[in-house]
Amino acid sequence: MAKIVIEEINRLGHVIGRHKFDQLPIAIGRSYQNDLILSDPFVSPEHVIIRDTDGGWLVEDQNSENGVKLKLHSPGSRPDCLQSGDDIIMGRTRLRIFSSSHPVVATHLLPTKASLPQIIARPAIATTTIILVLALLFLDAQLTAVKQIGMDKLLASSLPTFMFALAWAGIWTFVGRVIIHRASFLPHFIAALMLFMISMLMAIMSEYLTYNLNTELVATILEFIVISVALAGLLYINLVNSTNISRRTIIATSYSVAWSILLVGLFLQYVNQPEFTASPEYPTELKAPFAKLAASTTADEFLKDSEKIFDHD
Amino acid sequence: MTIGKSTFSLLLSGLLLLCIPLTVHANQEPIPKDEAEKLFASHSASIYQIRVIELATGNKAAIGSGFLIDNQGHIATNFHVVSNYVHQPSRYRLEYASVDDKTGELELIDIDVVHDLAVTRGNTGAVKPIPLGHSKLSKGTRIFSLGNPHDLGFSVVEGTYNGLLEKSLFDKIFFSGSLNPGMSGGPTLNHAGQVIGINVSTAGNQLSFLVPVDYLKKLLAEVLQNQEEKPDLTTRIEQQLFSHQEQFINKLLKEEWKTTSLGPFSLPGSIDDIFKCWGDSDDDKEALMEHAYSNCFSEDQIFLAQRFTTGGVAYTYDLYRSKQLSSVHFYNLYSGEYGRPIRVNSAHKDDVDNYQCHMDFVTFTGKEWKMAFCSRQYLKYPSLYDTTVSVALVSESDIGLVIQLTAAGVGKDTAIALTRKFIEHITWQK
Repeated sequence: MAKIVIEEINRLGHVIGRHKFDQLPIAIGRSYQNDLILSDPFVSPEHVIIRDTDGGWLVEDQNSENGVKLKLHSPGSRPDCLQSGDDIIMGRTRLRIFSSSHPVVATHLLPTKASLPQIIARPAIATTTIILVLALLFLDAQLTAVKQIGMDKLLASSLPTFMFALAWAGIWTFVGRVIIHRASFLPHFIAALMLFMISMLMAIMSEYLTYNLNTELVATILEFIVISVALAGLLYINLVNSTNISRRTIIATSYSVAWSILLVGLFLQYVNQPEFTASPEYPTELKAPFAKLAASTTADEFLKDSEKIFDHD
Repeated sequence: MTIGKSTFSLLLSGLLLLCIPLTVHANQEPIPKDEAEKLFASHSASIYQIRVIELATGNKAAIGSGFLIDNQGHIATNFHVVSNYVHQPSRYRLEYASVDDKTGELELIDIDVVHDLAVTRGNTGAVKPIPLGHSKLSKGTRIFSLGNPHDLGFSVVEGTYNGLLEKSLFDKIFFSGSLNPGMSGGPTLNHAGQVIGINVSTAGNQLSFLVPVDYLKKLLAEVLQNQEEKPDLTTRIEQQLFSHQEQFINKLLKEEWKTTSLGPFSLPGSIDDIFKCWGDSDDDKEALMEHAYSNCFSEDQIFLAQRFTTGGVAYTYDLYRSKQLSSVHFYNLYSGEYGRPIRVNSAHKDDVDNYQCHMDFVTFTGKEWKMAFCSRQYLKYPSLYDTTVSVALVSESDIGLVIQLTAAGVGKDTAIALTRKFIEHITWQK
């Protein structure tokens, strides 16, 4: 008969101890005469003896006060016999019994490719992102200024974004410290800046799109899709970098959180839409002459097309 | 304690000042019966307070004045006095009260919404009607307004006739005298005791307006002609507004338009006498673009209900010039100035639909423009719309021009024709 291994399992399902036995029977209990000595106070001094039979390992209850329970994985075998991999529960202790020939899971291969958080934290990418965000913020402040503005105002305009990214990354670093005992700040920070950059570029793009299409609809839909994917991406990086949840769960979580945030936002916007507006509403973006890609119509054509807005019902 | 003393002496002198006219009055001989007194004495029996009574509570919802105009019991007043009843006849009823506090039911017969007139009928008994005269007098003639201001009691206000204002959406008499709320609908009489106008509105400080009596004569003639059938007032309002606005816009369409220049553009100037134009430019040295504007408004509005007016037309120009900005920067600033619509009337969701807009790029006078044409329909008067056209120049990298044209209570075809003529008068001069 092959050798036997008994694992002690804690309540979270983690293995907290392994005991190897060369021969049966094995006596289990709290007293020091046992082969496997347990410290669980709910276990009797002489609790069970495990013997070898043809049908497997027979569990003999030694008239214990709290009894014994078996959790068998292969149905159809004898209810009082254990097969390799089955559990015995006595008192508050769970044991799992294996024969030494029990197969183990395949070896996890070390990642040959770097993970996404590692990629975005590479010096080249991180530096480029920071410079790009700064440039975008400066450009935006400069190009929307009503009056001449100085360097101090330009710098001030970029502060809130960076403060927000720092705070966001700080929180996730703390989460990582608590959950996986590893603090890695840069991926969170760069990811937050990237989301900001994407949303800013999308806002600019949607203005140009709306200007050319004369409707906000297309740009709004596009913006919604891109921002939701980018937001999910940020959450993915945060979760991968600060927790050890499986990738599949992370993807599901990040997408559902991103979509729910945006859908709730859209819903609130829809609900809070005023029923009646005293002034006409139309897209009011005007862009420089080079941005006009759409064709123009003549005044006559335009007025002819305008007739349709008089048929309100 | 000098302060106390001086305050006291100030108070004292104030009291003395107040007393002066009173003592003078008391010391004088009784004044001989003057004109106003005579007119009031001979006509007060034919003047009424018009009350709009809310049925559920029996309280007055609105009051005004009115006067008997013929032997059939027809009493004239303003449309705006009885407008609550016109719009919701099931919630209100009309009542008159005479000088000697006799009250009785009133029936609404017909209205002229454009000139703010209404003719009602009540069982007034044997009272002498006030004869209708003519509204053309010479400037400076003394005239006398009768009515019941603020429900304080019937009174007479003396003032001066200051001409017929024809440069407005509808004719009105300029009366230098103090009309107060509650006097609306009361008559204004000449020396001979004939009605020359109907009290209608005030702009404060002795600036008051009367409806020329000629419009009341016209309305009364129509009433007498159609005595058998009572007109449906909703249809009547719609027809009156539509034909008035049609007439007004058609006049604009036929006229030769003066043009004005603004920057490199030649634009419609004061296209008709009724438009009052204002303009200025911003002089902010730090601002990154220059701004000059010109706004032309027809000042009058036609009253429909408490928060619902119509009839105005306006057009505005806003010219922006870049102070050597990049085109992207200039357009970011210029874009913020587009889409600030001007309003010429007020209306609420029970009165009108939401605006619908058509927007596109349009080429005219060799330049590219972004153009939005918006309209909203009147719910009770579906042939009428408020329209507004917003145009912005988008082909120049350093000049921007926003043009807005808005008209209240117009028909579809007139609105489009007016816009067409307007666009034709926009030219790039360089």
